[in-house]
Amino acid sequence: MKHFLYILLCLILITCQEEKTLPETDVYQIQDLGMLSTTEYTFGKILHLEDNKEWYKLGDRKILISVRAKAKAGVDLRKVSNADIVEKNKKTISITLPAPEIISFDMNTEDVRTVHTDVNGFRMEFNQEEKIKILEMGEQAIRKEMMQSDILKDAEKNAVVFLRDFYKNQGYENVIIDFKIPETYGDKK
Amino acid sequence: METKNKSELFRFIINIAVICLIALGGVLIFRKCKKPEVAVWKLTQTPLQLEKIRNIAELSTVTYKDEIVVDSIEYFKEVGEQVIGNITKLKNPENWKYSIRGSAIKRQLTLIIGGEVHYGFDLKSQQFDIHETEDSMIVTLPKPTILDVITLPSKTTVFLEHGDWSDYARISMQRKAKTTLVNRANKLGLDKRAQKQAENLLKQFILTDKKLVFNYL
Repeated sequence: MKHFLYILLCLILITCQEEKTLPETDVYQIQDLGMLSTTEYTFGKILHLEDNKEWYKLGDRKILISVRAKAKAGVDLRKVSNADIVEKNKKTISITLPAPEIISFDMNTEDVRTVHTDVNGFRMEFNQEEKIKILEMGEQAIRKEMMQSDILKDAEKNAVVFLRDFYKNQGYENVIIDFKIPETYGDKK
Repeated sequence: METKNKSELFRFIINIAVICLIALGGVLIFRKCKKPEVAVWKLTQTPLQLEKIRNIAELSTVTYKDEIVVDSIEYFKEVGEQVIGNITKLKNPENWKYSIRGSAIKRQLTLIIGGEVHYGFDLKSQQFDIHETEDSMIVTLPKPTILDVITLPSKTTVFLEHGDWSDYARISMQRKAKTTLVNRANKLGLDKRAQKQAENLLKQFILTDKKLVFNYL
């Protein structure tokens, strides 16, 4: 009996050992860009989650988190080749730009607020790991839903305005700007 | 007779203790062998509000990406506090392992935050100008600045969470990670690289036979 208890105690202590080791992190990356952002949209969303699906967990948990995200859209100037810029005569220039895309997306941590939580029964409060998971789900939802907005159309419109001014400053009177047909209007970031 | 009763009571207590220990051992082995299932969560549909639209003209020419580890740790101040604290931790099964060990750590939070810094130019600035002289085309640009410092929940991992942590504490750590990212980026002298890349880009867009001169204000 004594031996059995010792073995059990050892077993418990072994199972309690921590195994976590810091994951290997990538060496930093520096990359050249050529992104002209022409429009910035700020979105707000309330993330609403009800954690009551598992039958074996006694009690419910609900949470409301308010978030704000900023997305910048524009054109990638690195995708413009020399053949895309054609000077037709001294007063006219034609340029073909790539389709606009999302250039950056940010959810400022300062704008994240837990508005309400309701935990009852034998459930534990939401911890930070769970809250980050909820925020990640929110991030995916915003990225998807924002594509229904006019962000890319506005980016295209503003890119035209910017480049027209840019070339008019150089003495061109007619600036013809076209866009390549997008394969998929998409979010690259 | 009385001795027999005492002996039976003792045996009963021992049996109960053994059963409890077996049950506890079973739970711990189960927890160790079986990774906790990720709860299938689904956000309730809520509308996306468009709060603000801003017309900008920012040229991002360099990006710096890195991962920052931010750690916050708090120790018990006295032995008495450590004992009571470890007993209190038993209420949360996640903290049992620390409690059984009698850990001196009151709470600890370690985050691994992946982030990005964009360097570039604000071309809406009054300082951006292009004009010609007899023999050259002069492009005046503002100095390169940091346009974005991005840290996202999808690039954030909670490496270790032990004890209760407020949102404020997490946000402070995320803020610290952003500052570290900016400091590291600044040390790399990326403004020079941002200037060079901007010049390469603009050379392609400005069709001129004249000499191109870049000025930074």
